[in-house]
Formats: sequence, structure tokens, C-alpha cells
Amino acid sequence: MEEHSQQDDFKRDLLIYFSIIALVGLIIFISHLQLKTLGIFLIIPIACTEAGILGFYFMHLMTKKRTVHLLLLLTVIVFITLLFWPAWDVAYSPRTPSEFTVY
Amino acid sequence: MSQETEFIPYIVKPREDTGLYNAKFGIWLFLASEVMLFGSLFSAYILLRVGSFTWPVQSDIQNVPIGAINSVVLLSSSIFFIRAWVALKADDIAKYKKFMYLVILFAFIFLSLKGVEYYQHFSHHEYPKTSVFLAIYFLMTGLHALHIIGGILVNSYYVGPGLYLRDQNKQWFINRVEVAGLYWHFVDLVWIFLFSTLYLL
Amino acid sequence: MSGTHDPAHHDPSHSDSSHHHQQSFWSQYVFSTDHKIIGIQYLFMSLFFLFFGFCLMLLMRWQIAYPGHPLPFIGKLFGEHNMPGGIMMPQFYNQLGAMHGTIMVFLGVVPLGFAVFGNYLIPLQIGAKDMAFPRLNMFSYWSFLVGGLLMLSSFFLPCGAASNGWTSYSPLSDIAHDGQTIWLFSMAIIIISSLLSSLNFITTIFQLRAPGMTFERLPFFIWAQLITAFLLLLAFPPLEGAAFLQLCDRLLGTSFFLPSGLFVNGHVYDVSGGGNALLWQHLFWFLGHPEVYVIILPALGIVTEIIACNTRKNISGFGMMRWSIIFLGFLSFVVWSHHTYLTGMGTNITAFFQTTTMIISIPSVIIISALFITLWGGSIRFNLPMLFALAFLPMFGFGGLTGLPLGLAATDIPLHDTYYVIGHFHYVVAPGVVLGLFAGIYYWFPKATGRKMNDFLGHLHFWPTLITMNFVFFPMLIQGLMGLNRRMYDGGATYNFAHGVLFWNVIISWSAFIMFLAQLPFIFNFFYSMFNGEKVDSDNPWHSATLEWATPTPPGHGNFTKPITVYRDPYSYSLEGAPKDYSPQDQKEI
Repeated sequence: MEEHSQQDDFKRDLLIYFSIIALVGLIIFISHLQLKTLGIFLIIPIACTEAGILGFYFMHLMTKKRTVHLLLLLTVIVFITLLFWPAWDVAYSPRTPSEFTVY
Repeated sequence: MSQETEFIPYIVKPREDTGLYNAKFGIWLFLASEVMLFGSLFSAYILLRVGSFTWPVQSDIQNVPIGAINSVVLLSSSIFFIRAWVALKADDIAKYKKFMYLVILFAFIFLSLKGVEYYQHFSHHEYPKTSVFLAIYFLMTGLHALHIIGGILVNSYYVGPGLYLRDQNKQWFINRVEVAGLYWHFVDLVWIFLFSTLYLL
Repeated sequence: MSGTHDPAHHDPSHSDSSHHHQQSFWSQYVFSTDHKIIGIQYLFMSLFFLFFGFCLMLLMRWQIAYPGHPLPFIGKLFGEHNMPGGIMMPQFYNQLGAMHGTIMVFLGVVPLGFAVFGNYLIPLQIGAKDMAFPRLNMFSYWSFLVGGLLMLSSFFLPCGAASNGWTSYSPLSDIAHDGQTIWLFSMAIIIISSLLSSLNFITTIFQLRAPGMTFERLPFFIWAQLITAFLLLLAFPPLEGAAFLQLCDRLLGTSFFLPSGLFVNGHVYDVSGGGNALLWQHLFWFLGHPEVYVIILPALGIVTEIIACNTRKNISGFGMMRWSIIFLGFLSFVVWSHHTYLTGMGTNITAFFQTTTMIISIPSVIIISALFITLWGGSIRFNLPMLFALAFLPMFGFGGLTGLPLGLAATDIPLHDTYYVIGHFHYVVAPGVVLGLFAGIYYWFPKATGRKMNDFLGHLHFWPTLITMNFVFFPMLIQGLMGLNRRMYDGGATYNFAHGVLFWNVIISWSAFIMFLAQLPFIFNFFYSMFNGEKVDSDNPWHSATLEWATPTPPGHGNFTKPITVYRDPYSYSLEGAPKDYSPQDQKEI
């Protein structure tokens, strides 16, 4: 257990708080630019970063053991694959006869 | 209740090899299942959006300023929770209660702002049945709001009638509050994704 | 942790029942937090539901064998709406079909395998006094019962119970009658109960193992329960999500699963549209596939325990079995779309799921092979639990093999939604899993009651059940290969191409009726032996090495009468230099 003084902890928590808020502000700005696909690829990673910061510092994920980290990472990778592979397949499979291409 | 801590080990002190006490282990498992629950709804959102021909520009329908304020509100409540827990560990009950009341107050502020948003939608005849986007928006934020209400109930218990538990076993009470805190931070985490996905994309 | 007083150091040797305050009947036997009582509560509940689901099937089988013929004697009991003059209406047949599946899977086999055996045995086999969260455990049971009773109550609605298959596909389920809404609410309650049980089991297994009980020394039964609990924990929430989506469609008029331009009863359905009916299928099967492993794994665990004990040797390839079951757990999350091959999926995604489905057969084969190999050179004791466990192996193996043509997309095309599928999954569940679960009941009955179940009645249960099960499900494979469609209330008479195999319907139905009769000795035996069965002469009548037998019979509150330390592997049978052919895990000397 780290033996920080209450003041140090409080300052650190405030820093994290304001950095998450800054990131929220950033994604609102990016959303305002209406960047379509690029926007998605910017906003989601930044949201993940915010979540990561929250998880690591507020939920003390930083102090958990390595196995927990690896398991979470594996879960995240599986989850992302499962989400994007079907989405890609649905997006690029032909839906009307005119969309059939000849390979 | 000390009979229970004698009967079942690792309620209060953590087990050496896992580094966790039972309730903390349990809440992480519960949070994993919640990730899968909200995750399935996010994946439904993605499949519905990718598979549809047209999708509204979300920031036109949504009230982004209220959403942004709500993000700050919930994040603040998370910080207050941490202060409450730190005060509890330092045996400062007055400070613990003060910060816990702030957590609950901010949770109510969140719900009220959400209520205002829903009311704005309804007065523009924007109901769940109006479009798939609105349907998924109302469902996901509604489910999230139910989780907030659950959190309010638990937090109120631990600053109200549940305080007697602290007299029975101080460390166990601190652990209980810590576990409630993990749940609360998770609710905040889900909101971050909800706001990003349903308001900004 | 900071220096507050810590009463966690306890005196483990006290047998708590004598020192606790006198508990009332209600708190000791009804609202109990003791894992053994809760396990027994789940046992009565799941056996009842299994029987109920079985009876639903018997009604269906009458209709399939003799479509349009009045059911003698009891036909009139179902009312003019469901069975006018004793002749089954199609709507009622559909209700029976959907509820048979739902009740058997969610209220019968899974609670029996997971909640009953898991609750009773996990603390005993790991050397703990109870589960990590006893009150949560009690809540899980009672919410499960509420969900189950709610599900049953749907039969009494004017429009009847859900009738859209246990899979409740959209868009039909979105627009179906109220029975479906009750189905969704019950499922939501049952899912929450299961989630809480799973997290209880996982926490208990990780946190409450006795000193010396490393993961390698855990019996395979515990490994099976652990992986099952993870599957339930992570796979059920998407079905919960899907249930919420379908409830919104039904109650709030949303269109999550309703596409634009859907025609219902001749006009375009008045909803916003834009939804996707396939979304339900994917969310359902994301649970549905891990669910079948949830059905299988506890039985595999039970059978492993019984085989090790009754061959008096260690399980061959135990390490491989552990790795296989972990791998199986992970893989079970990435095969679900083999249930949706015929929905117009792209070839890329189909190839992906076909590959993972083929790969997942590897760990299952490893596990079954390890169990077969264990028999070689063993001193096999052919007691009743062993008979059931031995029957499980080839039946489950065969059932698994029949799954291969379904897992390959090309051969699935003619077989999808035929009786072949029904034959396949029933082979793995009925002569497979259910035999394994019966084995567990016969095996652990003496520990819970202090009496053995009657052998003669046991044989009278076992042999006819095994034989009739094969006569019920094997012909279904043949019928399916000829293209006989599933879920048809006239038994398939509608389609000419199926006429050649319709005669099997009568054989199957009569085998099912005889199978019913074969369960009666079991029911009688179960209740009779509780009070009048032959008493066992020791706490460990099967001479097993695992920890659950190191308790008094039946185990009291707190389970063990002395502190437990674990010294060796779980299947320490016939060790060199040992005085007996078994060396209990908690005994220091070999």
C-alpha cells in the first residue's frame, strides 16, 4: 500500500479529474467538426483512454496483479474482434442484386 | 456479524495469493458481466447503425451541452466518492458523510438533467418508437439510469441506516464502501462510452 | 490494511452448529443460507421442472405420432381452447414445444448440473465451510424459483404460454401474444439469479480453498464448475440485453428487430422499422452456444469424479483435461454463428465460424478420450453411478459426432431445422448429460442422506432408460437426413418427401412413453431411500479420495469437524506404498 499523504493523493485525483474533463472537451470539439468515419476512429480511442484513466486510477486497476491485466486485455481483444468482424461483414455484404460484384 | 467473519475467511483481510478480499473479487466479476451486458447493447447499436441505409446526425437530435454537463457531474461524483472513502479510512466520519451526501446529490442532479433531456425529446414527439436511433438511445440511457438509481440506494444505505454495520466491524464496513465505490466508478465509465457513442458520433 | 481490529483470525475447529443460537425451522430449512440446503432446494425444484418438461414432450409425441387423434383419458383436461375434444390445436402444440425447450434447458438441466451439484459440492470439495456469499446464494435460489414459477404461470394466460420456440426468434416473437412477454420477464429474472450464482461460485473457488489446495489439486468437477460459472457470467448478459430489446419492441413499440416494410396480417406493420431480425439471432446464440457448454460441463465433471473413484486409478491425462476445458471455455464464445449459417451470412464470416466450430471439437474429444483411456487397466467397480457414467461416455461421444455435419456449413444446408438437429442435441443432452446427472444423484445420495439408493430399482431405471433413449433419438437422425422438418405439429405429414420416414414417429413416441415408465422406479427410489434405504457404514462408502467424503454424514453447518489441509492430488488411488487403495487428500500420511 502506497503511503502518500492525503494532500498528495488529493492533488493527484484533481489532476486526473481535470485531464478526463479535458478529454471530454476534446471529443466534443472533434464531434463538432463532423468528420464522419475519421471522427469515429478519433473519438472512440479517446473515450477508451478516458475509461482507461478512470479504471486505472479510480478503480485501482493499477495495483491489481499482472494476470488480471492480461485477462482484461485478452477480453478486450476478443470483444473488439467480435464486434468488428461481423460489422465489416454486414457492411460489405451485398444487399440488393445490383450490389453483387463479379469477383 | 463477527460470527460471520469467523465462519468465512477473507471477508475482511485479503487472501495472499489473489491479493483480494471476497467482496472485491465478487464485484469485479459482477462488473465483468455488466461489461458484457452494456457491450451487447453497444454491439447492437453498431450492427443497427452499420446495417441501416440512413442514420440521423446524432448531435442534431441530442442535447450535447446537457450531456457534457452530465459527464462532469458524474465524474465529480466519482471524485467525491474517493474523498469519502479516504475520509472513512482515516476514521473521519463527519467528512465521510459530507462527501457521500455530495455523491448522492450529484447523482440526483444527473438524473434530473436526464429527466429534462427526456422531457425535451418527448415534447418534440421523439419517442423510442419514432426511430431505431431514439430507441437504442432511450434503452441504453434508461438502463444506465436504473443503475444510477441502484447506486443511489446502496450509497444512501451506507450513509444512513447501514452505518450501524461500521460499529460491528470497522474494516468490513470500509471494504463494503470500497466495493460500492468500484460499482459507482463503473457506472461513470459506462456513461463516458454512452456519451461518446450516442451523442458525439 | 490499516490497524483496525481484525476478527478474521478464527478458531476453525469449532463445530458451529452447537454454538450458534437455535435457528427456527424457517431460517434453517426454508430461508437457509447453508449451501447444502440451498443445493437441495434447487434439487427438488429442478427435478420437478425436468419432470414437467418431460410431460410436455409426451403430449407432443402423441400429437406427432397420431396427428389429429384425440388423446385418450387426459386429452379433455386441457380445455376446449387448447385441445377441443382431446385433439391438439397447432397453437397449443407450439406452446408445448417452446416451453419444453425453455423449461428443460433453463429450469431443468442447467440448474440440476450447475446449481444443485455446484452448491452442494463446491465448498465440500475445496475444503470450505460455505460459499463466499451465503446470503446472495439464498437470494439466487429464491429469485430462480420466482422466475421459474412466473414461466409456468404463463400457461394460464388466456392466450397461453410463449409459442415461438425456445429460441424466440424475431420478428415473430416481437408481435406474438402475451405469453412471450412473460417468457422475457422470467428469463430476465432467471438470468440475474444465474449471474449471482456464478459470481458466488467463482469467488468461492478462488478465495476459499483450504490450505494446500492448489489449482492443480482441485478435482476436475471443480474445474468444470469454474469454467461453467465463467461461461454463465459472461454469456448470459447479452441475452439479458436482447430480452430488454425484445421487451421494448413488444411493450414500447420500438423496432430493434423489426425491419422496414414488414407485412403482418396483410398490411405493413405500423412501426418505425429500421431494425434487424438477425440481431436477435446473433444476440441469442451468443448466449446459446456457451449455454450448451454450460449444460455439458457439469456432467463431464461428475462423470470424471465417478470414473476416477470406480476405476481406482488417477485420471489419465488430467493435466490435458484441465487445459482442454479452459480452451473449450474460451472457444465457446467464438462459435455461435454456426447456428445462423442459413441466414444469408457472407462467406468470410461463415468460414470463420466453421473453422472455430471444428477446432472446438478438439478439446471435447481430448476430454472424452482421456476418460475412455482411464478405464484401461482400471479395477472397474460396476456400481450404479458407474453404470450411468459409463453409459454417458459413448452416448455423449456419439451425440457429439452427429454434430459434425451440422458444424460444417455445406452439410448444414440440408440438415438445418430438421429432426437431425433435434436428434443431435438430444443425444448429447438426454442419453448424455442427463445420464451423467443421474449418476451424480446416485453417487452423492449417501453423503447427503446417509443411505444408499436401492440397487434393484436403480437397474430398473437405468437399463430401460438407456435403451429407450436410443430408440427415441436415433430414428430422429434418420428422419432428419430425409428432410423431415422440425417444429411441425402434424409430425411432418405436410411434406410428401418426408412420408417414407413418418412411420418412425410411432416408434419414437412409444419409446418415449416407455421411457416415462422407466423414470417411475427412480422417483420412487429417490423418496423411499431417503427414509428406508440401506444405511451406509461409513462417511466414505465409495472409498473416494476427494474432500467431500471427509465430512460427517450428512455434513453439518460448517461442513468439516477439524481444520483441513490438503496434501495430495484429488485422484490419489492405488498409490505405491500406500496401505489402502485410496489416499484421502486431507490425510497427511500416504
